[in-house]
Formats: sequence, structure tokens, C-alpha cells
Amino acid sequence: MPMRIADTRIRQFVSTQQSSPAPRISDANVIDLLAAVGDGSRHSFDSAKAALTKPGITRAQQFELAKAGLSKSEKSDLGQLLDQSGLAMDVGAKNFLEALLGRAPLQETFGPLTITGDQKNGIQGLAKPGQIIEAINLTTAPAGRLHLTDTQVIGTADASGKFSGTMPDVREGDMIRLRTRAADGSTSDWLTIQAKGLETSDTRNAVVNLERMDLAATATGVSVTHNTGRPISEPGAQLRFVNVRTGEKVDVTANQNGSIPEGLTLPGKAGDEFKVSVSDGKNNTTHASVTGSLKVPGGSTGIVGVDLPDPKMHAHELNADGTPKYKLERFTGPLFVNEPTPGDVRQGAIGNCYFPAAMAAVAHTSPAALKDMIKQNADGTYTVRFYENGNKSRPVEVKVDGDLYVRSFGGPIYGGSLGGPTTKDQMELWVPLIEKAYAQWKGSYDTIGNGGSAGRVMSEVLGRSQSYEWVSAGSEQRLFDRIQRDIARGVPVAAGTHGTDQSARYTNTGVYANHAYSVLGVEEKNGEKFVKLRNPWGQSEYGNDGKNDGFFSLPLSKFTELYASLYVLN
Amino acid sequence: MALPPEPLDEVIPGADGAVLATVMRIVEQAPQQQYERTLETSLPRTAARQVVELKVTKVLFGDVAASGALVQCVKPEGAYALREGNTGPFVLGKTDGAVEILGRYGPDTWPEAAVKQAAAQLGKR
Repeated sequence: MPMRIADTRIRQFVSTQQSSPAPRISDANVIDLLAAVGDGSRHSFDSAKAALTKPGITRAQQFELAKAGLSKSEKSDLGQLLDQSGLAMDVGAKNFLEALLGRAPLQETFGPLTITGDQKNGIQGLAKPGQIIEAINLTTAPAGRLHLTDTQVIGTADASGKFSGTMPDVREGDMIRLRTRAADGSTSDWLTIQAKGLETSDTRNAVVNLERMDLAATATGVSVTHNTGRPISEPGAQLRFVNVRTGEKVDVTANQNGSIPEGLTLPGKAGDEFKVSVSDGKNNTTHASVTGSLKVPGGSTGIVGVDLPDPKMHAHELNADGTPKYKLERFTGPLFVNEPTPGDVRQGAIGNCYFPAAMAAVAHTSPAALKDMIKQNADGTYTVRFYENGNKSRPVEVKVDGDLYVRSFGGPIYGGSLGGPTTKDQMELWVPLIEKAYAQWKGSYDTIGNGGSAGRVMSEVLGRSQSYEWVSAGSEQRLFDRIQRDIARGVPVAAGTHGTDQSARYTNTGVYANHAYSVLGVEEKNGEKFVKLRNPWGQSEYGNDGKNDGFFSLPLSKFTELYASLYVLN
Repeated sequence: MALPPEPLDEVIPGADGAVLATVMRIVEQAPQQQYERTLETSLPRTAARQVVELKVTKVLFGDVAASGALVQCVKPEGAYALREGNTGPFVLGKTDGAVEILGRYGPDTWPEAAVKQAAAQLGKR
């Protein structure tokens, strides 16, 4: 019985395929069929096709768009395509047609990883038996410190290939990216789904992380870049930039990795301010709610000499419009006054205790390495060298100038130097400038100011691989010997306390939860063993020796009670 | 996150008093979120809110509570937690009738002498 296709677009599609040397309804060209049935009162064919190919769109969203425009006669057309056309079909394309006719449920993906059902009771699906399922919430990731690969394990496929897992803080409409990891470490392609079945509607808008976005004046306007290893927003989200000076608007769509399109240039110049807003297509569609502002570096700063871009302040030190609460001032003091020592290091008002603790630990065992890693250039700027992942063959050089954010009284708000003057022309600069370079390298003071690992920093400074020991895992004597041996060999050691949920054990001890310390050695006095430590604040210590300089000795038994981890280098 | 204590001169102007005191009992304890063990420190995590009863042994400045008095105070969600027997200088602020313990680390935030000196410099007795 001949087919009687009523819809013109579907008829054209069939005709094109029948005259093709390899007729097939593929996962690619099925979009034309979905657009043909998805057109109607809300969409033309072209706008439906544009919506169906929008970056980040999921199969479920494509299906819903097509289904919304599906008429009775189009249903009949699709039925004939399936039953009578004889056209070969990709599995995914065929499932779309079957799902539109109600013959089969929509499968969200086909391949090594398949998600089944909604996410009301977590994430369920199929993978190869034994494979681990990793996931990241791309909707919430831009607000955190997450790279695209900072996934969490949500489950392992059982012998029948089924898995089930949960993720915290998943809400309706969130974009979840998943992949499988095999026993040999190999991973599958990413699969992105949109969470559903959790709430009646998607009320969580996409976020955009302004702290990680860099604006720079160029010959043709203002370039917008960011570290594309981390999502800046949700895939498919629309970002709007409005130049406050000129009122010009630019809308861009985040790509499938949540990145800004490469090569984006905004109309503007140095010193301009841009208001940025974001919409996920369901929330803030009018862009009435503005996330914040970004200022293009340059213009009149009043700073004399070479003026390099500065890392953005921590989010706590930004006004609601994204501007910093503190001003920059140019510091011109010496890089080093004598040899670097642990007592030079002072943590600033930022959650990066791990960094000054690591720097003081290195100053204790390897001061020459610190003098070697930072150099002043002929133009007055400084070049600081780190090693990526502690790999000596992968040096990273970061160039910074002497501008530091300062408090109203003039001292630096972030890391500073102790034991000497803090004036702009006299303060010893190795601590704040290495920290500034670290912030520049990692993204911003916000990026480095929400926690981290002292071991990682020691590794990145010295170009050696890192390791750690849980303090509770070994004997006290073994810990004592390990610290003694490493310090004697000139290898820095640091230690971390337990988390904030255990902070009640710390009050009145002079030691603080969720905090990193430099380990400076061990000693024995009157038959009792002690660990010598330093608080990177440069104050507040166990035992009240009256100096309040951050240095203290802790009985070994107390150390194993109050400390959770020991950071060492291999 | 393990930030250093706030500079005293940023906190004392907004304080209504300070006392040396001992935590006699925990009156209320909000649920404490448990966190997974991690190698990272200075993470943006907090200890839950508490309401505690302090027994005042000495008034450093202000008239929030008299020496010998029992006073209920709110320990806000923050970087530290209290338990019975904790002692120290507590810098206090009054908000809508409730007394709140100020300072990032409560009784461990500043030594007694520093609190008294900072208050005296601002004319607070």
C-alpha cells in the first residue's frame, strides 16, 4: 500500500531520502522530521530547527518540542515512515519516532551509558557491568571551584549493567553531565541530561561566575575569556553583556561545556563597565536580574609604571555590582629581607590557610627555592615560577606587578609579611607577590580563597610529587620518625586539622579546625615527644607562651588528637 | 573557613560588652551538617548555631551581664563550636534583645588584655 504523507516537509524529507544513494533516517537528519512536526503556532520550521539544535539541548527537550506541535495527520505520517517506508534508521532516530507515537518510552541516550526514567529517586541507568558512573552538575558547578572533570562517583553498574545513584542539591532542570569509567581508567564520552521529576517546574536559573571571567581591551573592542576547563555558566544559557557607558547589549549562548564562545569581543574600551545577566531560557528571560558587573582593566588607574591585570578579589570583597571593595596600591619594597623564614608569612583575610602554611613550610626547609622561584624584571614587574601538578618538566611562569589590594589603613588585605615594616615602599614582598601570582595562575583570589591542600602548593612550588598520611592511620612513633626524617632531609611538611563539624574539640586549645599548619620539626623534652608547628596567621597558638607569634610545640599525643592529615612530598 | 580573627578595632565599636565567662550548658544545638573527610583545609564550612548559658566571672566592659550572673547567648553559625566548660573572654552584642557572641572564634578570638585595651581606647568601660 503506497504511503500517503500529508505534511509537505515530511513528504520532502522522504523524497530526498528516497533519491539518496544511502537512504536513512539518521540521528542527525531526524532533526528535520522533529522540526517538521514541531512547527505550529509557536514555531516555524526554521525556528523549531534552530531550537532543536541549540547547544546543550537534551534529547528530552527535543522530544518535548516536537511533541508540542505534533498533529493527528503528522502522527499518521510518522506511523507510515516507521511501518511502510522501508528506510533504514539509526536507533536513536527510530526511538524518537516511536516515542512520538507512544509506542515506546523516550530513551535519553544510546551508547555505553544510558539513563532511564526521571531523577525523582536519583539517577538510574545502564552501563557495562563494573563500570563506575561519574557525574557533575553543570548548573551548580560554575558557582563553585569545579573543573569540567571534577566529577563525583554516583554508583557502579552491577552485574546486569544497572546502576543507581544520587547527587546532592540537584533540582528540576539542572544539567547533569555523566560518563563511565572502566577499571583501566578509560572513560566514555560525556552524556548530558536535564534533571526532571523533582519539582513541578524549573525555578533555578543558570548562574554565571563573573570572578573567573577576564575582560581585556583590544584593538577591536573588549575580549572576554576564561579558563575553559571550568564551566562559566550552564550549557545553553544565554548571557547578556550591557556596556554601562554606551548601553550596547550583546547576547551570547554558552556552549555545551558552559563556556563563552571563543573569540567573543564586546563593543567597548579600557575602563568600561559591563553589567552581566544570565537566563536558562526558563528563568530571568527578560534579564531583569543582573548577576553583577565586570570592569575592563586599564583606563586611568593612577598607577605609575607597568600595570598588569590583577587577579580579581575574593567574592567576599566584591560589591554587589562586582566592583572591588578595596583599592589597589603599588608596593615597591624588597622581595627579600635576609633569607626567607616561616616567620615572614602572614595569612590574609582569605580562606587559603593551606597556601601560607605551605609557603612557611618551604621557607623552613628550602629557603633557596623561594628565592629561586620569584625574580624581579627590568620593567619593575615580577615573574613567579610554579610547576604544574608538581611536575618539574612543566614549569608555569606568571608575571605580576606590585599592586596589592589594601585595607583602609594601607596594609595588604590578603597575604602579607611579618616582622618588618608594612609600608608600600618597605614591606618585604615575596609572600604577597607569590600569593598574587598563584591567584593569577589559578583564576582569582576567590579561586584560591575557598580551601585547598598545603601538599599541593608545596608540590607546585618545588616541582615534586605530593603525598599525605592520615594522622590516625599510623602509630605516634611512625609519625614522629617521618617528620624528623623529612625535615632533616630538607623536605617541607604541613598538617591539617579536622573539619569544622568537629570544631567543638578545638575551642580553648589554641588550635583551630579546618586549618593548615606548617610542621617545623619534632623534639623530645624530659622524655616527652613534641611536634613543632606554626599557625600561618602568625598568631594564636597552643600553650600560650606569651609570644602570640604562631609558633608552638604540641605534645605528640595531642597532635594525633587534633590533627587529621600530614602533607609530605615524595 | 579558617580565616584569621577579625581585627579587634573592626568589632569592638559594634560590641555592647565583654565578659570573662564559662559555658555552663548548651541550651540549644542546631543540627550539625556532617562533612566528608578531606585533605583540603579552609573550606567554606560552618559549625551549627548554638544557644549557650554563660556564667560571668568578670566584666571587661559594658553592662550586658553582671559578674556572677547567668546569661543566655547565641553562638551564631560559624567557624567554631562551644561545649560545656569552655572559658574565655566573650565579646557580646545585643540584637533585638538577644545576646550574641561576637568574634570569628568566640572565646578564642582575642586575649582578655587586647579586648580591654581596645575597649578602653574607644572609651568603653
